[in-house]
Amino acid sequence: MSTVAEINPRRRTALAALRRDPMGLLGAILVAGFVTMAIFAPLLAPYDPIKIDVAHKFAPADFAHWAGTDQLGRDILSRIIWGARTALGIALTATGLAGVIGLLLGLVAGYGPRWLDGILVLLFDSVSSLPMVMFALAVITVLGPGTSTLLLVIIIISIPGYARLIRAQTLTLQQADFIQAERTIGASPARIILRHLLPNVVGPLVIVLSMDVPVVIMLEAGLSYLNLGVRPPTPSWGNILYDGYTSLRQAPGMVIAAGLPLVLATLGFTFLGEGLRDALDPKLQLRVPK
Amino acid sequence: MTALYDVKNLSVDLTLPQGLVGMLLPGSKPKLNLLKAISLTLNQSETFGLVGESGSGKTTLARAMLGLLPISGGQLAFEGQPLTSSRSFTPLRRRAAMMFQDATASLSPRMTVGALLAEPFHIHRQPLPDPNAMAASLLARVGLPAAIAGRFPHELSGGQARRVGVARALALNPALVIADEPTAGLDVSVQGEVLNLMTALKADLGLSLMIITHNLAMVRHVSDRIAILYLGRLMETGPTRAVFARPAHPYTQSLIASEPQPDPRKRRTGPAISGEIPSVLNRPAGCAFHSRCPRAAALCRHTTPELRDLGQGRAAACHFAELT
Repeated sequence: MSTVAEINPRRRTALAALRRDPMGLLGAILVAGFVTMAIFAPLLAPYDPIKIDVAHKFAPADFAHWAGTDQLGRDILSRIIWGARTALGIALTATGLAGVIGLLLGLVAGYGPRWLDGILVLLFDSVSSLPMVMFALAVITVLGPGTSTLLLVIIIISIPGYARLIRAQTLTLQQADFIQAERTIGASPARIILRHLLPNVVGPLVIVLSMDVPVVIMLEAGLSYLNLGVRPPTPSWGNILYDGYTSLRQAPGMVIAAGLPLVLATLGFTFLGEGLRDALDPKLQLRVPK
Repeated sequence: MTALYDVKNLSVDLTLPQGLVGMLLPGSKPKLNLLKAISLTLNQSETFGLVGESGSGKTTLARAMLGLLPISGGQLAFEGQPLTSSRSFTPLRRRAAMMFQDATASLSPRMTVGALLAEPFHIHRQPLPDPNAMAASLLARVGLPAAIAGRFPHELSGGQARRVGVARALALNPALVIADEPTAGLDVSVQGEVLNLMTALKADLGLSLMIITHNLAMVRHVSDRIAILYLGRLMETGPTRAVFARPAHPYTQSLIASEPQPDPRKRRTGPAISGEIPSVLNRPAGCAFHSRCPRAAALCRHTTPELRDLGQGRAAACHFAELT
C-alpha cells in the first residue's frame, strides 16, 4: 500500500486550497484560538471564574483585571475564557450527536422500506415546523433550565435538517449501479448502509455541521441570555451578556467584553466552514486560479 | 442438457410512486407493465444472447431474474429451486453474478479493488486465508497486474474497470454470469479483448453466460441461443445460427435487415425497420409490434399473439410466423 497522499491526491489539494483561501485561513486561526482557550481554560484564566469578591465589584479594566469585574466582583476575562469551554462544549456535543443521529436516520429513511421513510419524513417535517424558540421554551418549562435540557433541545431541532440532507443523497445513490451490484452478490442491508452508502454521503454533512457550530454557539448564548440555558454561576457568554446588560450603567464594557468573543467565534467557524466547503467541492476547485 | 435458470410467464409491473397517504389508502394503484409473460430457459454452460432496442426491458429482465426488482407474476427457478422469497435467492447470490452496463459505476467508489474482490468472500462467509493472493490470482485471470488491487475505481480505465467487474463476478466460481452490455463504452479493440476474455473464461470454467445487448454482430458471434425482446414482450427465441439464417418474426427480420452491412456494394434486402419504439406508457393494443410491422393485419391490432413453438427449438410471437 502506498501512502494516503499518493492514493488520494484530492485530500492534499483540499488542504492546499484552504491554505490559499485567506478567509478560510482566518477562520481556522480563530477556531484554533478558541479551541485552545477552551482546552486550557484552567491554565489561561488568571482567576477562578466563579469566585465572588464583592469588595472589587465593577472594577474597571486594569492590569489586575484586564476586562474588569462584574457585579459580584468576578473576573470577566476568566469568565469569558471559561465561557469558551461552555460554548464549544455545547456546540460540538450538540452538532456531533445531532449529526450522528441525523446521519443514521437519514440512511434508514433513504434506504429502508418506503413506509418507514414516510413515517420518518413526517416526523422530520413535524419537528421542523415547530417554531424553534417556542419549542425550546416548552421543553425548558417541562424539564427545567440547564445544560442537559439545552443540549436536548438543540439536538432535537437540528436532527431533521441533517437527516433530510442524508436521506436525499441516499435516495439518489440507492439506485446507483454499485448498490445494485452489492445487492446482487448478497450484501445485507446493514452492510450496504454502513460500508457502501455511509462513506459516500458523509462528506457534505461534515461541511454542514461545521457551518452549524456557530449557529449553535449563538443559540446557546441566546438561551443563556434569557436565563433558559446554562445556569449561573457557570460562565457562559450569554450569561455574561445578560449580567452586562443589567449593569450597563455601572460597567458598560462588560457587554462588549462578552459580545466580542461571541462575534469572533461565530465568524471564525463560519469562515472555516465556508472554506472547507469550497476546498472539498471539486466543482468549485476548478475555478480557483493558479 | 439441464436447465440452469428457468423463467416462466414472468411479469414485472412498476407501481407509480405515490405519497404516504396513497400508500395507506386501499384500492388499486396505477401500474406500468414493464415485462409481460416472459418465458425462457438458460441451459448449463451455454451463452444466451438477450437482444432488444433501448427500452425493450432487457435490463429489467436481468434485474428481475436476480431478485433486484419485485415481480408481479410468474415463476423463477434457479438450479431447479423455485425463487419465491428473498431468502430463497441466497444460493443464487452466491452462484450467479451480474456485470453492469457501467463498469466503473458498479464498483463502490470508496473501496479499493482489493477490498471489492474480497467482499464476496466476506458476505458469503467463505474462507479467505490470503486476501492479497486471492486478489492477485483473480486479477491475473482477467489479465490485470496485481498492483491494480491498491487502486480505487475512479483510477481505472474503462477497460480495466470492465475486467475488474469480470474478476469480481468470477470470485466465487459462479454457475451463471449475466453481462449487461459488456462492450458498452469500450473502443473496438478493447471490446474484442473483453469478449474473448469472457468466452475463454466461460469455456474454462463451464459457466453459463447471459449477454444482454443491442449489438447484433456481437450476439451472432458469441451466443448459442438468442431471445429477442420488444416492449417487454418476447418476440422470438431460438438457436442463434438458425434465427439469423431464417428469422421467423417480422421484427427479427427487420432488425437483422437494418444491421449495418460491411460491404457497401451489397444492397439491403428485406424490410428495414422504421419509426421509434413506442413508449411503455402508451403500449399499442394487440401485438406490441403492429405499429411498425410491415405485415400487420387487422388481427394484429386487437389480438396479442402468444409465443408459439415452431419446432427445432424455435418459438415466435407472431400470428403469421411459420418455418416453411
